[in-house]
Amino acid sequence: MSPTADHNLHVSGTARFIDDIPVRRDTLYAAVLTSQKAHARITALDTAAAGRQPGIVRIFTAGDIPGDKTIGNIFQDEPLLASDEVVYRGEPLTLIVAETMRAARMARKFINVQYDELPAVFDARQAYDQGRLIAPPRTFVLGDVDKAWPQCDIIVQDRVESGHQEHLYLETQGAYAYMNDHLLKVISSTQSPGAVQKMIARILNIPMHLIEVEAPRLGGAFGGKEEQATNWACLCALAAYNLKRPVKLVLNRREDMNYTGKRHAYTSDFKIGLNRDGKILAYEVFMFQNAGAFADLSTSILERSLFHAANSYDIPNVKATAVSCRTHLPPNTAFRGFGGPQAMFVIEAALDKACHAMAMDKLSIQGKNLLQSDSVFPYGMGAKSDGARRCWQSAMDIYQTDSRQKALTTFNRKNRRFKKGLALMPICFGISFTSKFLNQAGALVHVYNDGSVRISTGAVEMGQGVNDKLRAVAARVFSIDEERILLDTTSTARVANASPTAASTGSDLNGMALKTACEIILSALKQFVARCHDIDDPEQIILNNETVQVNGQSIDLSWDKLIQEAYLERVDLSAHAFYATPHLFFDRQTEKGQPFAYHVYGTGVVEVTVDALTGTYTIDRMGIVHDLGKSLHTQADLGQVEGGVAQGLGWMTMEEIIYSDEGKNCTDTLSTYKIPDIQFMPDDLQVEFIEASGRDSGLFHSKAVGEPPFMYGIGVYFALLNAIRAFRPNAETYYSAPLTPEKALFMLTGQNNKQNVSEKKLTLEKKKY
Amino acid sequence: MLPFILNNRWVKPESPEGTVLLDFIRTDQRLTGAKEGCREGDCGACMVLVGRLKHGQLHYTQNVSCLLPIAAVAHCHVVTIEGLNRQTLSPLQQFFVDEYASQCGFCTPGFIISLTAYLLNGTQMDDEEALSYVDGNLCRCTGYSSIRRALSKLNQTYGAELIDYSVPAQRIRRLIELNLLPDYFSYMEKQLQTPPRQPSGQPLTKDDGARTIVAGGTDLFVQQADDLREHKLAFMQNTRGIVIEDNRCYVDAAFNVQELQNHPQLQHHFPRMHQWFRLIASMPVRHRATVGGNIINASPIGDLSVWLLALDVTVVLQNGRRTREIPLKDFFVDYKTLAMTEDETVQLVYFDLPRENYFFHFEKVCKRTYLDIASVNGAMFLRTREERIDTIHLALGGVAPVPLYLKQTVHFLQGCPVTADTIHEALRILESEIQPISDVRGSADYKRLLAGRLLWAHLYPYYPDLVEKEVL
Ligand SMILES: Cc1cc2nc3c(=O)[nH]c(=O)nc-3n(C[C@H](O)[C@H](O)[C@H](O)COP(=O)(O)OP(=O)(O)OC[C@H]3O[C@@H](n4cnc5c(N)ncnc54)[C@H](O)[C@@H]3O)c2cc1C
Ligand code: FES
Ligand code: FES
Repeated sequence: MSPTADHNLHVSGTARFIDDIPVRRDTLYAAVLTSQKAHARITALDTAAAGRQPGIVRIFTAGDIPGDKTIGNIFQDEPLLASDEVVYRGEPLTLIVAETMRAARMARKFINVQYDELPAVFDARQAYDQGRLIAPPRTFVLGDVDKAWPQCDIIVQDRVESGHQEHLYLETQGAYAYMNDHLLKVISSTQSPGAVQKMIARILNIPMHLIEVEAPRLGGAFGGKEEQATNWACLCALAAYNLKRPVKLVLNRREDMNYTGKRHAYTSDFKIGLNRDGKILAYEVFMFQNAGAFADLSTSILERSLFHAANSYDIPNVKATAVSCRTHLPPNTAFRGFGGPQAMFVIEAALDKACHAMAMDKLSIQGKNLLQSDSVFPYGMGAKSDGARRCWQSAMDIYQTDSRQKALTTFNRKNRRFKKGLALMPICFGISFTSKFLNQAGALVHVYNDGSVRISTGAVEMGQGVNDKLRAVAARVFSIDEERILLDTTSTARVANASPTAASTGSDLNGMALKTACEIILSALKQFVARCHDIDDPEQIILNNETVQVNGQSIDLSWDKLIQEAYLERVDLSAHAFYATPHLFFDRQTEKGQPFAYHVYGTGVVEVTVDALTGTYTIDRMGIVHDLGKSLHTQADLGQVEGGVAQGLGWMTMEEIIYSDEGKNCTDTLSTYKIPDIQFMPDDLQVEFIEASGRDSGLFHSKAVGEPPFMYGIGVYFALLNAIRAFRPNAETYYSAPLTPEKALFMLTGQNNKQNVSEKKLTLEKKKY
Repeated sequence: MLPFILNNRWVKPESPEGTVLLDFIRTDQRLTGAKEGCREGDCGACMVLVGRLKHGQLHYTQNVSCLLPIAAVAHCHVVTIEGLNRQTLSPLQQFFVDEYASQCGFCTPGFIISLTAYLLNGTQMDDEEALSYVDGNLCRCTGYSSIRRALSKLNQTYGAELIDYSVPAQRIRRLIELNLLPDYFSYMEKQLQTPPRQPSGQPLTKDDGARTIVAGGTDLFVQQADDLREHKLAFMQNTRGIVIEDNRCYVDAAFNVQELQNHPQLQHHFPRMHQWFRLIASMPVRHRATVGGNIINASPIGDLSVWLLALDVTVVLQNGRRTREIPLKDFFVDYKTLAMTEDETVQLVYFDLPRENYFFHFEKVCKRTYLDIASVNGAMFLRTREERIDTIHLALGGVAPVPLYLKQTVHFLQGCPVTADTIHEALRILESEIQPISDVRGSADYKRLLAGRLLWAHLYPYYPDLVEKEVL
């Protein structure tokens, strides 16, 4: 590990996050007052009394915004501060700026807001029935399902639900803004400094060059800071620009959980048909996405649900429809997987239901229907890889699923109280932003005349290891020690117009740009060496392990010396380069095209034990075979797989957001919203990397890794169902994630059905215990 | 405010005594290694070590600084991550780096602190014990595998040899030699002994009415940290510890849950106690949370309250010089309403240690097994004589406005044989005694269902055939 790597700072507590940055002495602190109603007209908003509280400097309302009053990257539909109407609980109304954080927060209770309540909708289907859509529905079609149904030997249909998921980045949202002469500098915990800069320019009505947005490092993001870091940065900027004093705005946990959107809850209806041999002939799905109150990234997320509607399966006839429904909840947003997991859960549920109905082993049906090289996705792109099958087979071999299956059956025969279940989860995930224009990146490289290197790209480090990968790229191109290389924070001043660090593309796009930038410098260096040593073809020169070689022979020229000499000879030791992913296109009229650079494949195996007496369960074992191409950084990649799996398991088991009938988040604390802890994760979690399909992959034949592993977690739902069925073969199982111990116990005992579970009459009790 | 040692120097805070330590170290002292992740004790990002003198010896525990009023660390040694740093990384820090055990790094200082507490106090020095020390630390990025690898490496490298150092001062010296602690730890014990020892915080005095009584503060500072900042605080002192006399066990109200868990004599009587107590909060919270606090808290799902109800403990209340006693089962009157006056404090609880032929069992069901609040919890004490129930106590949490002692069910079962019929009849009575409500921890139907299942679960270890036949 390079001593300049972030990890050394992490372990010594010296890595600075937004809230750790030493603030200037004249710093002010901001807090936000948000709506207490899910849907209402504001009839009065009186801040006078609050303004008189000690320490209060200024209270901003919508009228104080000089430029655009709304923000949003796809649709600019979201008021920065609401004025006439509020459409979700937690929607910002006023910004209170004070000498201390405490004063700013305390002043909230002196602001008098009068609401005239309006009817509110929280359910996606209900919103759909009322025509409350973010955009018209979209449908992807392959073959003709209607013609296929008569050929099926079995057809099953059902409903599938998956809940909201809180990102729970450990560092809450925040920003720090101040004026530096003409320049408004904003330090923001954002995945998209470029987008934040653009929005600030719009709301303040000033050009972008007067604004610098910097993201030092993020304490986790997972999609939650792609679009939704913008509000806080804009508010902070508004105050700092206006008051000409530094302003800090950091949400506390409860604020963050109440004000920000989550992973979209989905409710879907499927119909699946198979023939007697277990071949899937047709699959039809209708997905209702709960978008919340504003568009945010919902339509893009919805599109990815459509792309991944058939997961890793080759199905000749598919009709997938999805619609983004507007409700009175905080706008839901990007979260690892970006709509993919929700769709994949549905197809897996469909297969589970069909196999159960046919009394067939799900593993063999899954295996039989996997994509092959000549398969075509419903969106028209060819798979051109047998990655799905190779990963599946490796998983079966490595984890000896056949013999495990037998061992489980024996265990279940012998034990009455505890039952075990196993499931396999294949995944297939397309890599690229599905909005073509976002697939671009820039990188800036400086080689200083002592041979040290400093790199800026548009990629934001949020724990995913992009800096380590980028460092590896530069070290590889220059063939120098990683210790020489420093990765800069991400700033709009160094790399302009950068796309968000998202869609797992951070290292692919920025790494490509970086590679080119390094190659520009390398090429200049080679030409310089060629000139000095009278070598005709600069390509005979290579850099190897910090020395220069000509035709494989070392000449007495180290990296240090080379750089020094090149500098004295006035060689340009800096370069900027740009990358745009080639060959991407997608036609939204026909819903066909080539939206992805390549696909990532894998298979996860999961084993669980259920306590039939109490409905509690443990995850005993997980095995994963993941297609990584040629890894740029094995530890970073392993970390992404393990971390993604944990979040996926959480989504399927314990992570449950509960909104009250008034649209209040009742799970707005860490004591009520549970994420996996160290003891929940299985002791035995093995990950095997394979190169399932190197040909079409990305940077140095590596593959993006951020999002795909999340979806291995989906397997746990079906492993649990299998364990439950081992206890009660005719259990009334259903598909409603998360499968909490409550649902498990109901299924185990048959004492209740799903209606009663989802009926949630909640007492809004503040106290914890 | 009374001074304390922060890392390697004395500090004397000017802030109000109810200021939480996290704010003091981050804002006043500008030590930002401890992070704010939740402010309610649930994430561990704010973890610090607190060293206290106990019988002249310095003991360190890991505490969540977001729930710790600065007055509670008077004359203590508080160590933040900065206080563990030297010019180069310690082997523990290096293992984290080598194993890629940090991703975003926000949680990492907290983990390093908790594992330092483990190095200081671990007795088994195996992975399971190491895991138990980080049960209060959440990480959203890594999925924990890399952290597990780092702590395994720690154990492989140092575990075996550290076991031999059981005296705190010797352990500290060895850890310094191994570069796992900075040198200055060697003279902290002396430093703390030097200033005149004063009890931490304000001892209880007559005008206590004006003060807020704090025991561990793990409930108070979750609920009302903002209001408490400016309050005068009065700290409950654990002066008596645990005393066992004539087979009766007296527990000081200010005794903390972790010490209770580790108590050898109680472990002897309740062999699975260690396992059960690990289900309560997390180790750093257990180090602070007290028996009295749990009772006064009167949470309907208080784990300790349920435990103590099934032991049929008696509560000793004090008001000035006057004391009185009341059985715990009569103490909980209604939601957060107790059979005590404002002037009274809980001094002790006591119970008779059980003799032969008894079973004790505790169950807690929640979404997440560890560090979660129960949907329903329950405890059972059962003693049989000649195949009949001689004594039984049953308590359930999460099914009523208070931690519930099942008076009627218990009354019915007294003298009955343990048979399918009696248990089914008992369940019918139990059903009539509970009134669960739906909340974030589960629907009323679920809690009702669980209440019955827990009775079977209590019986399962002792009557497996009966339970399997009836419900499995
Ligand atoms: C992260 C976290 C997890 C938790 N998990 C659990 C759990 O799993 N199970 C569980 O049961 N609880 C849990 N708790 C709640 C809490 O820790 C316990 O209830 C604890 O026992 C409270 O004790 P304390 O000493 O900290 O109380 P304090 O907060 O100090 O006091 C609580 C109340 O009791 C009063 N008080 C305290 N002692 C006395 C006394 N002797 N006489 C009179 N009044 C007194 C105080 O004035 C205050 O009103 C958790 C808390 C946190 C923060
Ligand atoms: S901030 Fe989360 S435990 Fe203290
Ligand atoms: S590394 Fe990000 S929370 Fe642990």
